[in-house]
Amino acid sequence: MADKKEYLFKVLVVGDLGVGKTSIIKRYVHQIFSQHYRATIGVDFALKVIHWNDDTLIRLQLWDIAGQERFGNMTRVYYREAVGAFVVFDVTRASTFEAVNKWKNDLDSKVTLPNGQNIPAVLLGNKCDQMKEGLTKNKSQMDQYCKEKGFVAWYETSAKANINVEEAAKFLVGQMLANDKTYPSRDLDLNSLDLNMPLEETKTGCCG
Amino acid sequence: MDEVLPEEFDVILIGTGLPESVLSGALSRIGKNVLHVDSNEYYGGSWASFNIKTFDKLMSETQMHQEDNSNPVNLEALISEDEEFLLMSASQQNLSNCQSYCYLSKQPDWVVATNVVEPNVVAEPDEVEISDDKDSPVDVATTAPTMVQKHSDTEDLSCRDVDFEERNNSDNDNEKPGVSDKQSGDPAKEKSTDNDSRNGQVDAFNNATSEEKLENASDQSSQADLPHKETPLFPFYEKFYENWRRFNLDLSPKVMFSRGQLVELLIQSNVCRYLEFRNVTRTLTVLSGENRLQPVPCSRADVFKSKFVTVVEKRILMRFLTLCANFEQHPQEYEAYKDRPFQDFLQSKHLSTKVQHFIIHSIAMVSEQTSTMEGLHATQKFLKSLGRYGSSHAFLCPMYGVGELPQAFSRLSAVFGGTFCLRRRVIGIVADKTSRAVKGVIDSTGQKIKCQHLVLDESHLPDICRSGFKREVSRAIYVTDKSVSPSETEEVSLITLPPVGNFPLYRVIEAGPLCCLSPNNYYVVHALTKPSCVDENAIVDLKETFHSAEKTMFAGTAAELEIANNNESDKQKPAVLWAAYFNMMSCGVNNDSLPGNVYVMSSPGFELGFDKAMNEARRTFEIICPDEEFLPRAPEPEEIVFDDEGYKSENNGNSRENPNEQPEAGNGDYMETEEDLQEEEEPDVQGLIDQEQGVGDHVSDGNGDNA
Repeated sequence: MADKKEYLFKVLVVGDLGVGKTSIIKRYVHQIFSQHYRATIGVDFALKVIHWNDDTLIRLQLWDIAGQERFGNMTRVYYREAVGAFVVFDVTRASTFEAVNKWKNDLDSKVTLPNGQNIPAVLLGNKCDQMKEGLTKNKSQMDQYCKEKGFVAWYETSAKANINVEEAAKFLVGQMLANDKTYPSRDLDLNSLDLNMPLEETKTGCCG
Repeated sequence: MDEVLPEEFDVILIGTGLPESVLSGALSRIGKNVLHVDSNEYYGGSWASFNIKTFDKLMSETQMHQEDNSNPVNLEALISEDEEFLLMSASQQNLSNCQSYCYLSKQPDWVVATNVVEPNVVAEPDEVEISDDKDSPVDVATTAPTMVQKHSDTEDLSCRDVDFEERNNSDNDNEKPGVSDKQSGDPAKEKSTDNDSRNGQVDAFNNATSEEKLENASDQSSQADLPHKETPLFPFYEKFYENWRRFNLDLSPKVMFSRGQLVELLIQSNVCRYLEFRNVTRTLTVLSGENRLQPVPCSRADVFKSKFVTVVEKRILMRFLTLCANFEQHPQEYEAYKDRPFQDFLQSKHLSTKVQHFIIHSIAMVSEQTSTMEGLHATQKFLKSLGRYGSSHAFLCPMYGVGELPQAFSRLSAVFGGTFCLRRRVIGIVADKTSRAVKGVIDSTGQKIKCQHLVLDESHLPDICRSGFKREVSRAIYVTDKSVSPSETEEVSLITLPPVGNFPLYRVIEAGPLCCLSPNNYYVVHALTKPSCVDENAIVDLKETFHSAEKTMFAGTAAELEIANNNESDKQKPAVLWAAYFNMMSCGVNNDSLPGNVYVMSSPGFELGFDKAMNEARRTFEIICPDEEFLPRAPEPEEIVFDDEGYKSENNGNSRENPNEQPEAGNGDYMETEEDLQEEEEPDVQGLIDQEQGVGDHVSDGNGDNA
């Protein structure tokens, strides 16, 4: 137990209004799907603890777009220190796929890994249960698209039917774990202050 | 960008500066339906921070970016007979007289032509000389003097040419594997170099990539003070701008009092989880008649350690600060000076000129003429903040710049349902003709949006509610190659430069990579001063305005230093690589013409801290939502209970006590306690003082009674 390694990964979940971002997060984190849509109020992220293997514990923060930042005007608080992303579109609505490029560009311009590279992004075509043929028909086109736009992978998912959500997350976590080894972790000495932790005890011994 | 917004909100806020954002967060937090718009494409308004490219653009385009390309709106169709329309001016004019300069030379063509992508190495003569034995730092020292000789014998340009040839030779020897590596522009490698060199005083402009090169660079930097430096001393323009994203330059730099309202609010609301902070690690000033920055002893530890004050001064200063920390309990000490200048009071306490300077300019941060009461309050405010987050620190600053603060509160507002829309300009206000109350706004897309209350930042006031513009703060920002007062570890400095002759008082904040304001090896220096000019319309040469501050802090611009055979004394001082100058404007509010349910938030102003902005936000909140709690604690995601219906907050989180939290009003470092008395009677200190001369006659001995 003592040498168990812990990771904290911040993952952004972006995409147009109504593509199922919140549903995917709920499905993945809570194993629940809810038919009626509710804007996400009062919560920054959902936390999923993953026992990756015997030596590795991963705390995954899934950051939803706050319901009303829907014009794409997220603050830097949202992007800061993210190390992975899901870009979600709705396979039944073409406009949401057209917006994928905009979201990917937005990510690449607002956040990079500590080594300067773009954060790994996985493309999710959600609501695949509502589509007869699915995206697999266009597999090579999708592969080509992801290569061009710099996505590390794509999945068709259904939060409702619980299709591929777990798999997509697993793939992204694998990518983030691999990336994590390529740059030095933040120096502990350089940790910033926690406002909840005053250092009043320093009062003693200052008269030397 | 032109999406249609909902038609009605409880409150509309225009401008995403700090007070508006705090208010927005507070309103959304208690369930108000909030629309928050900004005509800019960025958050923060006059409180924003920018990367250096965006800053350059801002400085060159302040007039242009006000341009309005939207189609004219047909107002007649939107305004009914019982309504009136108050037009907002298209331009915000919160900045004026903007200019920015980069003093670095462009990479010469020949550097590119010969495939040498490491420009600094190219023209660094000693680098060439020692390439045969580059692991030996001794060589650097021994070859250096000859190089200086060479330099003084030749003109800069010809010198470069010689270097260039030598460089070619050494290239043929294939001595520098790191150089070609660099060319591939591998970002990963470059970054790791940055990280490695972070802690050392590594030569700012050594851009070595390979491990070997890095070591070599460090060796050289240890020789940096030797007079062997050759052209170019500075990175090329292209190199400098490579890391443009890692600059965070504030329009309105400020620091947070550790016990100021902002810190309390950040803790109370839990918005602090969105932010990171650093201590301001030292306070510097310049004593009159000197031209050197000196540390100001603030805490007990500082006072004891300080080499700049005598033992007697220390004793008196300690006594005085202990009095100030609890001055209300000792009215007899200051009664006679209540209505007299603070300086008179300080004199009456037998404080030396030097110590008076420290107190007035760097601790109370007032002027000589400030009243004693105001001075005491200001000193007390400072002392209360001392020691909360570090033994001798009174201030904090947000990492990544002040612009993070409004964004953190905006995020809170968005998370609690606030609708945010940037790049959306409101062209005017619709008010009821009879009641004069605001009914809504019309935006540049021609949409009419209703609201109960309207919050504006000053720069968005309708024209008829303004009463003239004035310059409120004159600003300069410098990017330098080293700290204004280099030390072993990276410091965050608050500097006061008192008025000298015709030059005004300057307030300066210096920070660098530690606060993520700049890439490694660069520092950002913010200078502020109050415009002194009587004629508000006169064009003031801002470079002239800051001349005295620049002379005190810097050796000169990189361009000047490249040309001049710079003298040794200035070697210690940093060079200015980049600078920007501008004025922050403020307009008066004509309250008579302002509808009752419109609230105007002030511009950032000259204030060092954030209390004014916080007060404004709180007061406005209390008017709009009487009896509601102002920014109660937002729960952590872990505290959210999930059920079939969706996310639900367990409670508002108030039940979670933080055992570490301190009571509201701390007394800081100079709190009167039992220990105080003991401390003061410590034999070693006492002995020293007795030795020097008997003091203490004039000092109240009852200070510890109330602890």
